[in-house]
Amino acid sequence: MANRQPSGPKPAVADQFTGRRLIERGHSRFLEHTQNATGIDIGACYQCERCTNACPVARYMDIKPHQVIRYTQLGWREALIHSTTIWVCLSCEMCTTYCPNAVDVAGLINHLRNTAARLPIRPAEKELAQFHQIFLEELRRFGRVNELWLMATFNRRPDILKKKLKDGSLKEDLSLGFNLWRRGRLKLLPHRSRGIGEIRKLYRHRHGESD
Amino acid sequence: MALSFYPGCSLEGMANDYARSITAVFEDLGIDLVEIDDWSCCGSTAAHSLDETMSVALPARNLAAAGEMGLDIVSPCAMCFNRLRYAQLMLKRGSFDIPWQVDTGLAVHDMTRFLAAPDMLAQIRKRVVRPLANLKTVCYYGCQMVRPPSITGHTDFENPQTLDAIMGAVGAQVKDWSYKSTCCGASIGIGRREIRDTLTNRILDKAAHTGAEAIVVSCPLCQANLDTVPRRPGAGRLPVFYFTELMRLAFRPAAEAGWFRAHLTNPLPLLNTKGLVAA
Amino acid sequence: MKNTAHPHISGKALVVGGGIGGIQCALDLADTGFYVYLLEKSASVGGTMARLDKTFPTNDCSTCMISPKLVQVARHRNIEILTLSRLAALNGEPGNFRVQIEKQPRYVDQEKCIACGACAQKCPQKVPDPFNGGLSMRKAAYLTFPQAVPLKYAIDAQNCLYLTRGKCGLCRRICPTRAIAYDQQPETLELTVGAVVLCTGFELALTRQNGEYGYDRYRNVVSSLQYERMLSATGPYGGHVRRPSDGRTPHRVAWIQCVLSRDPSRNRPFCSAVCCMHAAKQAVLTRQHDPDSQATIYFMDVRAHGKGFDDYIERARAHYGVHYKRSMISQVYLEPDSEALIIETFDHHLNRKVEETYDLVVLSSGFKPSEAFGDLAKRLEIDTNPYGFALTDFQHPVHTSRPGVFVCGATETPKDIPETVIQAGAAAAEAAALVHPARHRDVTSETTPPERALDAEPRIGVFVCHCGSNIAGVVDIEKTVAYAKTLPHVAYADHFLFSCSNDTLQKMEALIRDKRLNRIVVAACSPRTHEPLFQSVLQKAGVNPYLFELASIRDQCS
Repeated sequence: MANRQPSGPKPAVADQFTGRRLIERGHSRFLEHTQNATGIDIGACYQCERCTNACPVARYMDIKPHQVIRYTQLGWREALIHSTTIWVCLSCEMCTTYCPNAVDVAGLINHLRNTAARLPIRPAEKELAQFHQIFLEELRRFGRVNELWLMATFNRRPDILKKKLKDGSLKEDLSLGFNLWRRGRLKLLPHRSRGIGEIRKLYRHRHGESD
Repeated sequence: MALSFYPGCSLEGMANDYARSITAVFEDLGIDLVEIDDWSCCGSTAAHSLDETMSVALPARNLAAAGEMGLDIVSPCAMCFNRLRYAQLMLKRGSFDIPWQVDTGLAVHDMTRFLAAPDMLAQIRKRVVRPLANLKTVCYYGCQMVRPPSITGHTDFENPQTLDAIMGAVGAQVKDWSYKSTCCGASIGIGRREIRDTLTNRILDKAAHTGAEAIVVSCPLCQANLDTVPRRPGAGRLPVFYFTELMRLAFRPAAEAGWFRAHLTNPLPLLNTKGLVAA
Repeated sequence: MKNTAHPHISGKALVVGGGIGGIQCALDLADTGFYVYLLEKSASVGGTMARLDKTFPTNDCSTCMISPKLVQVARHRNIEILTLSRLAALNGEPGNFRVQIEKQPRYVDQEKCIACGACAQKCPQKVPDPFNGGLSMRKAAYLTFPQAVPLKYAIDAQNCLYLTRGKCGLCRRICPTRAIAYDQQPETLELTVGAVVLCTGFELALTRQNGEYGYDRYRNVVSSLQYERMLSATGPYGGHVRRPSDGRTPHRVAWIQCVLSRDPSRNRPFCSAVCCMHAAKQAVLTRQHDPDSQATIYFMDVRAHGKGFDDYIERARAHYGVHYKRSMISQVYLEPDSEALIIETFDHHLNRKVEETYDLVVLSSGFKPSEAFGDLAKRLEIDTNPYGFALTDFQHPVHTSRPGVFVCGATETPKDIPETVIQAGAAAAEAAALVHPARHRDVTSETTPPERALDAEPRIGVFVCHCGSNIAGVVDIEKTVAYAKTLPHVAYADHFLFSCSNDTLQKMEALIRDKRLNRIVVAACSPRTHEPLFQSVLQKAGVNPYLFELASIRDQCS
């Protein structure tokens, strides 16, 4: 079963599906702040579950899409930022597209992902979060992202490398990489943008660093 | 006619065969594709996942460059298309603290939509010298090209027709199927392999079940997933073509087997039996 | 004594729309002293109710409920039915409106047509039948449905080979009464009426263009009205539910509720009021037709707000085994080999998606005002709400924004048949109140022929009804008639396809007179609905209406 239980002490009153604490004191302004920050009308949801039915990865999420809306309405912020949901979401936008109330479910989940990324917490899906991080780092290095270098950098991360050595998937990665290279699909040398300077300046600005 | 061209990072690497077929096809159609000078990565999934402002800023740099050229943009990669449109929309709605000045009136075209316009289809039909012998295909659009309709403009997101129309115009047989825009898993396979494997394999199974002989795509990541995903032992698998590869095959009298060497799932046996490429 | 006061107020009314709302309104007005023009855009009155199989919550036969009213309206001396007509202009003021009616040609002379059907039989041109939702074909020369009022054929000008290309002309050659008239022209009528009631009804919001859930893409996805026609004995498959793709009986049928209702993303945020009930009805009927079938309804909420409605849903669930699943479906998928449909829902117990396969999927589509109404409202300068329905206010629920113009039925908001009939009565009352000084002035009264003195000897007439195939499918009609002839005092015995239809009733009246019948037995459906109808026939023929019996052989035998 691919569903992962949330980390932390077992609560007294628990949801039968996820094991999450049911009586959690919600953050009272969380809904308001979230609606203001995103412009999404989260209150419009009538829990029809169309989004969850449409989601291709709902089974891998601890909090299902329609529940994300409900948790937000209740102010259960901690559960959301610690969920696997916000990382497993593929941004395929099925939920947003099919919602009869035009609630941007994918937009909300993405916003929660942004929020979690900025907080000093361990993401529930560490590798998925790391991959995004590394992608942006590669972008900062060269201006364009080179797949070979991206994968190499990703696989060289100590925790990732250890895991891949242990479960044998590093061999598969290398084998696939070799096949792709043989067929000419890997560019060995990355291209460096002439405008890399202004791109890096943008990064520094976003990270609050001075020029 | 001239358009500015935003290839996207994958066209330099994993999808460089897509790039070559695009060059050939646009040359044959007599349309000038001018690559945006010093274009940079749109940020893809990573930017929007981690930082909203970056997800607008990174595409905006390219929108600004195209604006300087004064040419509408055509994008072959579904994700880049989606991100460029997204940035444009966000900038229309409000201001962001970014260092580039963007003309939000520039048209950003998804390549398939551009080529499926009625006048383009007529031109495509004229250029066909080798109709594709009723090659049985299903067209797979993936997510980012069609959803959400508020960004992509594809109001027919459940049953898009652009690839279907283009393939019909070059003499392929196109089968309808319900999984045209069902997600393949995109880049999640890098962290959660089994998710991508489950989603992509399901699409391959459903495609085969229609009786199709090949899958036609336009998104580089979809092609990579469908072409390379590990299959169950004994399960067949369909070759996956970029639509421009098939267009080139229909346009150019001397078909070369080497055009298809990048495919991990070898399409040559199929093309041979159809008499489209010499053995 | 004729009422001659207030000569400037017209004692006539115009009812626009010949569905159950318009029919009821017309009858109420005509029965209370006003002359009514009943306008209908198609070739027959009856509206949507004539297309339904059964009505909830009683599961009564819809046609049986409406046909007495259809006959009343047809025979009413103070109701003038104008078919193939539309209201083009309305001028003047309440009590004294000048209306302009545009009447399209039927291309059949109504005085001559005897509805024998020879034209339709010979006509070579087939088109998808809109009455059956396109599931079967009809000819370019056609009768809308068997109990049509007026019971006259019509020619579809857009598909007739003669009218479009000057070819064929077979119907004109074959018609025994020379009723075909290709040279008929559109007419414009100028009428004066005191009040106008709009009851143009509704259409399904689901169209071929919006393609929800595979509608018009996958053959075995049908709309609620198409399924209703499948259930009907006069429908495309003779009352058998069949899959459009291969004609086989579907064993697993699913309903998807709230299609284009409660959907703000498509600018249709309102509830269409009747879909929860009609889906339950259709599911129950499906289970009755085929006890091996599986009926599943996918819903968000169940809105069963009328009298007896909640019990109906409970019976559907508990007694008829209809499965209710609270889960809104996002997409319907096609299984290409069998053309079955796959519905995916997330199962919270199993924590994964489950796929369910169905042979047929029915979309309970929301309602919108009929297409013609948008145009009509603009022309008459009537305010509508953002969804196109006539705008009324809480204290004046049947008044439109234009004085003297009233509204009832689904034109105002989606509603079921009982509420439509109630509102039609209300609109008739308001219209009557407006023009009451002219009551009885513009009508002619029914003169009942004097009753014949009773003959010494009873002469019984027996009429056995086929009721389409409802009785004839089980009972041997010829044998029954032959048997009746052997009974004492039976002077005449005969059989009819639909005894309740207007032309049959006219035949009956003539037969009673010609054969000097003084006692009548009709072997047919139910005295509850049809006894008064046949009694009025006896009355017109000069026979005491209580010397009548209705043998309910449909309920008791077939």
